[in-house]
Amino acid sequence: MLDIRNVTKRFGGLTAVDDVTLSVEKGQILGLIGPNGAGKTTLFNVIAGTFPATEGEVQFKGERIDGKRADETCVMGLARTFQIPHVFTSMTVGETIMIGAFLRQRSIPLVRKKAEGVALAVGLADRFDTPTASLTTAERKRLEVARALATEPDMILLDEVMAGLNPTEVNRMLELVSDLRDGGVTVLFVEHNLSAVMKICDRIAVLDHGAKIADGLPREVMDMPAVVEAYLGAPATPADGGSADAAS
Amino acid sequence: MTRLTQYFDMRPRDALGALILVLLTMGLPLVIANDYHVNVLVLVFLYAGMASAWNILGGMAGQFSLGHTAFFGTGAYTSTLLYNFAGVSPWIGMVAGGLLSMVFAVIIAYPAFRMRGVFFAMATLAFGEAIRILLIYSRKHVDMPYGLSINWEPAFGNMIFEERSSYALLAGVFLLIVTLTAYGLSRSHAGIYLRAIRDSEEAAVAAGIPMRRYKMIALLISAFFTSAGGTLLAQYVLYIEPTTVFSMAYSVDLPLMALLGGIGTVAGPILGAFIALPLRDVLLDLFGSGAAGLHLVVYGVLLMVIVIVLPSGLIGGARSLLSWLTRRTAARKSEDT
Repeated sequence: MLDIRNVTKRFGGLTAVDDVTLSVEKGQILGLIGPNGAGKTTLFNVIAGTFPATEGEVQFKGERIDGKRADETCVMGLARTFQIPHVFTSMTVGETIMIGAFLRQRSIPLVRKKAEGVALAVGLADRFDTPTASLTTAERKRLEVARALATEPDMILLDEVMAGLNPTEVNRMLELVSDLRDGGVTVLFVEHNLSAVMKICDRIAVLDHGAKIADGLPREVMDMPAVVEAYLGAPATPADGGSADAAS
Repeated sequence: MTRLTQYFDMRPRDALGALILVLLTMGLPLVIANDYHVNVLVLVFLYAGMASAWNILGGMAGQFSLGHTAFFGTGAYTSTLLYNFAGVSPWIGMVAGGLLSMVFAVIIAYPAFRMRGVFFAMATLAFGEAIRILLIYSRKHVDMPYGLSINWEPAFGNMIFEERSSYALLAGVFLLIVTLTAYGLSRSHAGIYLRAIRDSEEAAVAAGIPMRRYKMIALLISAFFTSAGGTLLAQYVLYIEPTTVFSMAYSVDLPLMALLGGIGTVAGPILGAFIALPLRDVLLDLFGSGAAGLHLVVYGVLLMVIVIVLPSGLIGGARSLLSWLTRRTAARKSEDT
C-alpha cells in the first residue's frame, strides 16, 4: 500500500530523517514510534505531502506521491489527521465531516447521510449539530479522524491521536482505530503512548535520531536491545558507575 | 436529469429574505419619486452589490482584500474608454472590463495568495495603489485627458437613461444578480469549502480541497462583479478620473459595509450598505454645516462603536439576540412547570 524508499530529509545541516525504508501492507496497522526528536513527525509530514523529501521517494498504491500536494494525495485515498487538531471554528461537527465527504460526492443530501454515518462510527453522532468550538480535546481528536475518514481513504495517517487523552478516552480511541482496520482501512500510526501501540499494532517501526533501528512484530521489537537503549539509554557498565562514584 | 436543488441546501427562511430583497430592489425605484432619494437608492444598490462581491472573497473565503478599487476602476475605465473612443456599447464594455479585471485578478493572485491575513491585505492594497499611479503616470506617454466625460445621449444601448429611476432599477438588478450568485455559492459545496479555507487552510487541504482553485474562483467572481459595479457607476455619474475611480475609498468602504452588516453572510453586506450610506448622508446633513469633515469623524466613531459592540456585525448581533431570547423563553417555561 505505502512504500517509503530511502527517504532522507534534511533541514539545513540537520538530518531529521536519515535513509528510512519502510513499507505498510494493505489492511495493517503500522505503529511508528521513537523518542522525542526521532524524526517521526518529519517522516509523517513527508508522507502527507507537507514538504518534499530531500532524497528518496514515497509510493502510494504504486504511484509516487512525494512532492505532491496534500489535497492531491487525499484524492488518491491517503488521508491524515493533525497532532494538534485543526478545527473549522465556524462550523458544526456535521459540517466538518461533510467537508471531507464532499470529496467523493457533491449531492448535499447524500453527503449529509454519509457524514452522519461517519459521525456514528467515530462516536460523535450525538454531537452532530454541536459547534466545533465547544468540543473537548478528545472529541476534537475524534473529529480529526472523522474528517479524514469521510474522504473514504484507503489509508489513514494518524499523528499522535492519543496525546492528551485520559485512559478511558485512549481506550475508546483504540477501539476506533481497530474499527478502521476492520473496515478495510490501512493505518499508519505515529504514537508516543507505547501501551496503546502494543495493543493494536500489527507491526512496529522504531525511529531514533532519524534512522530506522527496528521493524517487526510488537513483542519482538520491544525486546530488541537497540530499542530499549533508544528509550532508556545504554545500561551503565561497572566502569562508568565506578568513575561516577569517584567523581562525587 | 439530476435535480439542481440536490446541489443546493435551501432553507425556508431564505425564501422570505429573497422576497424582501426583490420587493426592495424592484419596488422602491417605482415607488420613490423624490429625485434625491432615488439618487441615494442607486448608490445604495450599487454599493450593496459591490460589497456583496467583495464579501465573496473577503468574507466567505476569508481573504481580506484591500485592493478592490483596482477592479472597480478597471471596470469604469474599460467601458468608458471603449465607449468614448470606439463607440462600443457599455453593456459590452461592462463584460470586457469584468474580463480584464479577472486577468488582473490572476496576476495579483499569483504572489498574493502565498500570503495570509494582514500580508494578503497589504499586498492587495499595494496593487490597488499601483494601478492608479500607473494610470496617472501613463498620461505622460499617452494622449488622454485627466478626466473622461461621457456625453449624455440617453439610449438603452448606451446604458444612459432619462429617468433616474431606470438607473435604480438597473442597480437593483445588479444587486439581485450578485446576491443570487453569493447565495448559490454559500449554499453549495463551494461555499462550505470557502468557509473551510477561511477557518483552517491546513485542515482544508487535508480534507482534499484544492485550496488555490477555490480561492481563485472566489477572487474571479468577486473581481468581475466589482468591475461591473465600476461600469455601472461610471454610466450613472458620466464622469471618471483616476483619483476618484481608483480611490482607496472603495477598497475600504466595501469591506466596511460587509463588516458592519455581518462579514461572510449573504445578507450582511447588503444590510451594511443600506445603513452605512444613508447614515453618512444624514450625518452630513446634521454636522456638515458646522465644521468641514466633522460628519466623517462622527461616522467613524459610530462605526467603531458598532464593530466593537457587535464583532460579527448586525446580522451576528441579531442572531445572538434571537438565541438569547429563545433560551430565556425556554428557561421561563421550565421554571413555570
